Amino acid sequence: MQRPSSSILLRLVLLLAAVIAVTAFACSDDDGDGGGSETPSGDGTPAAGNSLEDIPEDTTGVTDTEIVLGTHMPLSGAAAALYGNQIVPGMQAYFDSVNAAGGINGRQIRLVVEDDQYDPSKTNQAVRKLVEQDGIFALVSGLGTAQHSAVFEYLKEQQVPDLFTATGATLFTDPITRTAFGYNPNYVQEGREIGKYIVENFPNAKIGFILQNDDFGSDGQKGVEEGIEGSDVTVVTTQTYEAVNTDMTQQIQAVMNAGADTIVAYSLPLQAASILKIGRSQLGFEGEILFSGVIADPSTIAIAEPANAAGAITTAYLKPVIFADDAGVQEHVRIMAEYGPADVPATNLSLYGQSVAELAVEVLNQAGQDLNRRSVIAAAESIRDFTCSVCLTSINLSETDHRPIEGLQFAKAEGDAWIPFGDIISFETTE
Amino acid sequence: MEHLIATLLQPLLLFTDTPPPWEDPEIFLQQVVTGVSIGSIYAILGLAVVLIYRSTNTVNFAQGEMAMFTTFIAWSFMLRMDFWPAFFLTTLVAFFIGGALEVFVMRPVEHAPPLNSVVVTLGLFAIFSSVALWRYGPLPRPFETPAIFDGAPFTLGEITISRLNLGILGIALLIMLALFFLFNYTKLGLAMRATAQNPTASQLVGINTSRMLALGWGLSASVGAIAGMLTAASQALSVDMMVGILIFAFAGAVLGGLDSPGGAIIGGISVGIIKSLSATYISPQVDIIAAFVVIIAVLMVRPTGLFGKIAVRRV
Amino acid sequence: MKGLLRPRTLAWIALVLTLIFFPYFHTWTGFAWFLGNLQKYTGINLSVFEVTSFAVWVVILLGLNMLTGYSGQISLGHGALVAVGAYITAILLDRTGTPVAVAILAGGIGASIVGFGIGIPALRLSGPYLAIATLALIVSLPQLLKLSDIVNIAKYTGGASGLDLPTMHAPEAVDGVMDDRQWLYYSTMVPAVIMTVLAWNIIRSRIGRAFIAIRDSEIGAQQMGVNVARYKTLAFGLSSLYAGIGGGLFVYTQDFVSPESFGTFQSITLLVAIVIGGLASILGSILAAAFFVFQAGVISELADNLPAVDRLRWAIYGTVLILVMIFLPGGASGFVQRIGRLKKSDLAANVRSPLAALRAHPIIQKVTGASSGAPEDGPGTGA
Repeated sequence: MQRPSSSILLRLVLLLAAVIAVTAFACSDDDGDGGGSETPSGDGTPAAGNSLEDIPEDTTGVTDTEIVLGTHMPLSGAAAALYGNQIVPGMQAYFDSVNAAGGINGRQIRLVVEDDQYDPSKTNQAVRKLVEQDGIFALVSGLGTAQHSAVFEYLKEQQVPDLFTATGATLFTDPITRTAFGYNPNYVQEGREIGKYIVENFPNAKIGFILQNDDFGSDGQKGVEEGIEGSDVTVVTTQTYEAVNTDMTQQIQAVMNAGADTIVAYSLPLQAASILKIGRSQLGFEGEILFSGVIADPSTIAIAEPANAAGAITTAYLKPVIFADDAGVQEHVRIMAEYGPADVPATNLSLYGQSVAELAVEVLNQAGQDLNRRSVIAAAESIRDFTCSVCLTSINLSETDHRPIEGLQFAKAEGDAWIPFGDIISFETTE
Repeated sequence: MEHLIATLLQPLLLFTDTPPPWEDPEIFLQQVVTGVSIGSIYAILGLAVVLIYRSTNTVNFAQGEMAMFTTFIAWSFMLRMDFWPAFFLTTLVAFFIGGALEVFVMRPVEHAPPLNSVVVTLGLFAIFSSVALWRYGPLPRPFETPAIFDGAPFTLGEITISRLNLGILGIALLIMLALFFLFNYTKLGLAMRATAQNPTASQLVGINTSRMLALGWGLSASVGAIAGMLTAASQALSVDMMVGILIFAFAGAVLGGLDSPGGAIIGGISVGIIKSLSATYISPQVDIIAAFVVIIAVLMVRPTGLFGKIAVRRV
Repeated sequence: MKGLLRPRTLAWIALVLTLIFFPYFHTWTGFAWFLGNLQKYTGINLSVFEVTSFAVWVVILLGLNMLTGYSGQISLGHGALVAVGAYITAILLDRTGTPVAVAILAGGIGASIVGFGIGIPALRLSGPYLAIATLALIVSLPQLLKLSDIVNIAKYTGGASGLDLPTMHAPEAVDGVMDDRQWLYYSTMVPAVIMTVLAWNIIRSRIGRAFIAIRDSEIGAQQMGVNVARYKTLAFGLSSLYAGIGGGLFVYTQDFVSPESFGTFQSITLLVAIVIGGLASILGSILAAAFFVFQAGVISELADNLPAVDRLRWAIYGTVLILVMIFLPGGASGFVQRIGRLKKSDLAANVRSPLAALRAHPIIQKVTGASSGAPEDGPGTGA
């Protein structure tokens, strides 16, 4: 059974040539999809609709008795599971409480959750299943920038409402896709506010950036630099790190070497804790440290140790779950106790889940009895001055503003928690 | 000569604002020290890797996850006792876990091709990681730093190193010395080396090879536990804390030579220094790339690492 | 006529028919009911898209098996080569008007060039050193793809957010006959089948035999006149070709690629998959792809009933892996072989070069003191 290897190579070439011939011929006219130099996030391709009328009045996922919503979340695969395993119970518990009170216009909400293990290709698999097999009406709170990027175009093409994506990345709302809405404060907008805060409070600051090496970090940087433009605040160095790296010694050292007296970090909680712990107690950094709001969880302080975290500044847009006297927080705790799983207590993340769920319920209610994919988008865009029970800022949406949360409050680490202080700052773009 | 080096390196150094070493040696030395700090953890875990390789000729990919798991055990001990008692107790527990793994899991694939052992360790990786996630949850938690390491960092001129990092370096060197002594000056160490090189001959000479293999795994697990606890002390205890470190521990061990404990230390610390210096002088975006470029370059020249024994093939 | 009715031939015919008509099965109520219940009870989601994904991973895993299973070189960085192919294809599709097939082929060729490039220095490394050097590839890859400082690679690769391509559509020529999803199936399954047949041919040719000879005993192979260097490098090149084409198909079906699409953990999982599926076996690669694609669904299903299962997912895989290694080193395909009672000589895993067969003999083993089937490399005798 010996075959000379040259004959194998010949076969190889012939077969591959056949493949090229067949598919190149067939694919030579790909509806323009195979080529073109369109920017990846699309400049509002006509098919995806810049006009409301382009969205069909599709009632997939809506029956007289139920509305089917879907989400993709990391539920396993270490680190990110942190988010999924707390946000989902928060959402589900709130939906359950709404269902118990009669639902929305007589329809019960059913949330189908798919675990994408924080892997973009699994997100692809998961969302296709949600759309094509579970027949969801809309996707709500898709989590993860890279993960959601994998399905963004698909949802746009299928005209499935992509509501309240759980990220502050700008690429989902800029340029605007009629069927897609963000949720978290945009990292660029947040950065701008942080920059302005620095200008106001530390007018001659020398900033050293510590950024995650991805869009999150670069968006934040862009925002801060816009915020400090024209002032005496300068940036003396920019350090980056890869997400797997949780030891920030080298970055802090470099920042100190460059003579910075203020650290602005767009990092995740573990790196933030490292910056505080190592920076304060081991390297003796004494300047101001400001973080993006993604780290605003008590666990960050716990890991860094309260003594090291004291005085650090971050942003918040939801009430901290430790505000036990607040009516909204109390209600959340009650809802979690009654409808949530036994082993998930009320946390800042479950609170986040509820806040998204509240907005979704508000939108669905506004769309009324005649619920379809077009009416829900119209309803979403008509939201004005809606403040969810656990939100600090009010939500306004419009045809040109698909960013719900456009406000924040600064918070400082005091003791075990991040305590909001000062005014609620709004960068609302809807009149 | 200095000018030659300067001109050669100049293109690479254009990308950061940091003044080159010859203009500001303090920054250079500080970053070297930082690199040593980062690298010490790689070194200790690397020692565990070398220990297993030297005594059983296998690479244990589960090293990091075992370290993480035993650190969680340490954490649960620390709920009831002080740091150092918990530390030593954990080391002991890890020893038995390692030994048990060798007897029940690795022994059956001893005689199979090496790929099978590798795959079994990958299976262990998955098991430890998953069980830890299930038992302890995904939330990171603080890990107690022993009191001896509290206090202001040591300074030498303007160069600082925290007590904890100095301590880690010290422990790494201690373990290395202990292993060096064990392998080269004790009968037990000789027996372990013999078992790895030629199991049949060792058995003929009367060495209980089974016990040697289990011993190798046990010791390695203990060293791994130490690495895990020190990592948690300097960062935070979480289920994925060792994943980023394992890669570099391997890289360091390979750089130094998989059968050389001294190589593991030098290799691990070198990896840390390369990462630190490349981030400072070239770009923070290339620290991982730089580390691996250096390692592969070294492997091209010395395929078994800097201090590894050169494989002699008997035909 | 009698030949046509033999069970084996019938099985092959059934298989080919299934492959050809699969996308339409869903429109036939009986089958749709079957698939729906299959998903409901076992979590195995046999939608057209999932099976298309499966075809992509078959190609990728065939490549890895060729390298590790047949020629015995452990690679933990196969994912990096898939990424090379995927990104080449994605960049071509995103920025130029290259037809899809050409872009995918370019991905394959690009990856195989990189593979050859790796194979040459890899000649000097063995066993764990090679494994870790290949691991280095996949670990440094994300940083390389996001690089914007020294060389602005990110401009082409989309940096951290990757490249998001518009969904692939069926060409107008087949409008009415099939929809997008079905077209995707055929345009992916056909290359996958071609690549599988090609792999089968390669393995049965001189190239395949050289691989196996090298795997079993490098020195023996050299003594028999096999140009070890050439074939080891060829193994890298060929497996990378498969990886690259698989990567191109991946982008074609997923419409998206990012630095996180191919992680370290995934590369390791690929190795695990082919071991479970069966090393040095075409069937094994196919079973491995099935495991890789469908495992998520099965576990999610189980997890619905036993919540702990979700978090213990990898513990289950790990245990299965270890049990397979201990009791069933031939993997699933080895098991199938025993059940199906296929002729042993059909499976290359059992093909042994004469020298290896000799060395495996008990008497020879005792004399040389070699108690493991490992090749001779490793720490030498310079004690």
